[in-house]
Amino acid sequence: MSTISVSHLKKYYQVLKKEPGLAGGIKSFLKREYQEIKAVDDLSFKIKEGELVGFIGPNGAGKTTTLKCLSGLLYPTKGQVRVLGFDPWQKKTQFLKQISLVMGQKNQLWWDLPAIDTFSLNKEIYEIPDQEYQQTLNELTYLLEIKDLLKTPVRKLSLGERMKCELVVALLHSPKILFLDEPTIGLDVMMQKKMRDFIRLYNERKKATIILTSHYMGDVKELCQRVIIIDQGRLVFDGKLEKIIKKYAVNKVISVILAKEIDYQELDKIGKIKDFNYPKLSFVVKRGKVATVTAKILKNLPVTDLSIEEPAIEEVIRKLFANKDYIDSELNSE
Amino acid sequence: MIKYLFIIRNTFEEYFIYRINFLFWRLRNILGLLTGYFFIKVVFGQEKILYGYDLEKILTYIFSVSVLRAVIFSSRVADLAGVIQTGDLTNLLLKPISTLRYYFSRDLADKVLNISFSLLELGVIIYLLKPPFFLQKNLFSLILFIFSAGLALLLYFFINFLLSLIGFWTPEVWAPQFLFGILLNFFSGGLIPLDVLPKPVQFVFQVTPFPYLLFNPMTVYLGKSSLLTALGMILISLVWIGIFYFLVRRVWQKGLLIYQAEGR
Repeated sequence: MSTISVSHLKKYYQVLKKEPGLAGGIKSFLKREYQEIKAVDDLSFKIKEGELVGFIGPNGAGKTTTLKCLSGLLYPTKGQVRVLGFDPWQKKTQFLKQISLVMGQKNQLWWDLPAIDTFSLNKEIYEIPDQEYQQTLNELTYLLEIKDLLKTPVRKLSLGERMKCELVVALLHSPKILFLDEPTIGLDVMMQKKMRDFIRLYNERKKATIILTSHYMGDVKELCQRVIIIDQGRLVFDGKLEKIIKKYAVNKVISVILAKEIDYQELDKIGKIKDFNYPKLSFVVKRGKVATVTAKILKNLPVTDLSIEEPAIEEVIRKLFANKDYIDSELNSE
Repeated sequence: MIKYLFIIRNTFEEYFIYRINFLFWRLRNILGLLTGYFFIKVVFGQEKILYGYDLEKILTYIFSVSVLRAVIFSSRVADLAGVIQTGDLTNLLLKPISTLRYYFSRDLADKVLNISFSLLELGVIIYLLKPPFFLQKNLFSLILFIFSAGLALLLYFFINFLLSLIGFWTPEVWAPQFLFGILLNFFSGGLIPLDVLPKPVQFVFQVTPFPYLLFNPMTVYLGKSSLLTALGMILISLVWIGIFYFLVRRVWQKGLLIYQAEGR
């Protein structure tokens, strides 16, 4: 049975349209014009208990809007959403006690107070028993290394420290469903790694269902086996991450380390050069021609090492969004 | 209910962080009290009675209204409009907590703080200036006064909550809130007792909910209302509270339907 089920979800907004400049401002003051934005347009998917799903798409694709519908913040224009058997919009206490939404750009901690004050307030809001609260708090603050920061006012914390505290406050009630919207935004690479490790650990230990949106493909690559890609509010892909490469990467990369310098013109006869910086050389080759080109390289060039690689996932996704290859094509693989 | 006590606790803590702000805020209140006192002294001059008030009762009105205003008009719920606009309401909607009770708890913290300091400041001013001050000794009148002030507190909360819900529809909430604040102060009797105004004007004011916030409770304290009138005012206050509670519920539900959780 699915923990999350989204069926033909639509969320349209009315957005005020305004021409630039003072004249546009006056015109807009006298006569308001609105434009309909299809933030989510006929989206359907299901997520099973314990899955950690990456939710990706370009800016304005509808990722955050979908998460807001799943957590009951937005009223869907059409379609049906069920989370843990609840209609999120109803905001039933039993539903709210089992979910959490973490937004990387905003915080729910009381800004002027130490984080521990927000934690103790949430303990009461979620009616967490004393012993359970103490145990969870100890565990989370230990894992995230913030034990010494609990009595410092939130406004004095660094972004990374604050994000860790945000995670603690979101997880104190041990939610079964966790919506993470850009949880590593603005963090340095070390902190991103720590966050990822923690999210993976939480997923494994608590068997929690997690949906993660991120612009950092590193987050998705490391954490999610399954990804859902949306663009312009519509589903583009739903399946295993490696399938994206097979589906959308038409080329492979053959990388070579040369033993000695060669005539550059010789290379053009072999294939399309991606990069050449002696002794490193790489070719971009159509999937079907990999064997032929490899044979040519080995026969004609002084090679000390050779490897055949899939293109980087970041590159595939970037091209996918840039070229909109998926439009008018068969979309879903699963 | 414990969760709401924790909200009150956190709100208290917030106030004491910004000590300079706190001190200046109290200083503003003291200056307001002193201005009212000297203004009335000048207006009265050698007169014994003006508009049906002697100096003792008018000064009692001015001083007591300042305390009452501190209790009833002190409010954090005005922040709600901004909270809706910035999308920070999301934090509350995601939790198993009532937004209405959350803000009422914040308001209560504000009021406890206000009443404590206002009484203290008033005590100091009365001790130093020794103005004539009317003390209501009739226990029944005192109980009716406290009860009607309690209802005024609730009524103000719901009116203000309703006004803040404009934030769902427009970002331009500052102007209506500002205008409302000015009108409210006058219509409720915060500036002058309403019974000094011409009768037709008083009648118009009395069909609005505003006199039930300050003026009517004050007339109970000063013994200017008969028992029957006081009970009638309490009854009408309850009706107004019911109307505004109903409106808050309806408008809140309508607002949530179009809430966009912006800024995230």
